[in-house]
Amino acid sequence: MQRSTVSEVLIMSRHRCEDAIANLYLYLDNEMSWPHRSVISWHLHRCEGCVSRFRFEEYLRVVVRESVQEEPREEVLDRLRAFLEEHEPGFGQ
Amino acid sequence: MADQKNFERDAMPFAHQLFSTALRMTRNHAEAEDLVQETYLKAYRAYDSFREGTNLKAWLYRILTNSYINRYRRQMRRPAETDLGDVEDLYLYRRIGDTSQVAQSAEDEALDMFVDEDVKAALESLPEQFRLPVLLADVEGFSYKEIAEIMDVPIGTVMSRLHRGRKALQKALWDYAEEHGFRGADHE
Repeated sequence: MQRSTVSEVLIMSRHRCEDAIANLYLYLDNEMSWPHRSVISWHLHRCEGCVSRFRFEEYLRVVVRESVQEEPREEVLDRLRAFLEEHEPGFGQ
Repeated sequence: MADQKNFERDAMPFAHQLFSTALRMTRNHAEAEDLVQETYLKAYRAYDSFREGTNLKAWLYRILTNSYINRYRRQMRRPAETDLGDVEDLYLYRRIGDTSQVAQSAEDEALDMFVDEDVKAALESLPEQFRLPVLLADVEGFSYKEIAEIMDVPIGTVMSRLHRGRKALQKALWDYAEEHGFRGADHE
């Protein structure tokens, strides 16, 4: 079997980086078919540059999610219940 | 079909999530509360038509989104022509990488400079058609298909708005960081 030359390996690996980055959001959103997903996972286990980009986008999402979620005060939920009881006497019965 | 008697038990646990989203939609506490009340009233009245075993959270979000759009339709400007032409993918990662001296994971750590209020302000600055998909995907974790159903648009539209919305959010965060003098975690 003929072995790939160094330049062939480099070109292949660059294409894998391009493929990984182009599909970064589909991957993080869990919206990829598993064969393609497994190809990207394989690449991510071997490419520090791509891993750091993926990790960054993943962490950004955590930062956004944690920053914007707000628990309403209990009285907001009480007012919601009272509102529904007022308009719909059957609510909560 | 669902039984209205079970509405409180089934639907009320989602109230805090809907309120949180409503707050990011309306940017106003009292209006968010009104919007959630309207959503729950409509949901209660229509609960007999909800098919039990299907996705109740997505069903409630669909009512919330419709109520929001109907309520604020007049105030909604035409889709803002946000110029994202020069905003490349991975915008924030590249900007932070260019600025810091790129120690391993410096980019991740740089994200910790944003406090909650910065992120809220950046998200709230996004034009409507981008803000909703970003909220639904990145904060609430809905799939593209669910977002398409909630917003009543094709999946392709969800994907392109989400892509542009994420870019716009990254640009807003970076603009904010620059305005406040961020020059890189390890810089000088």
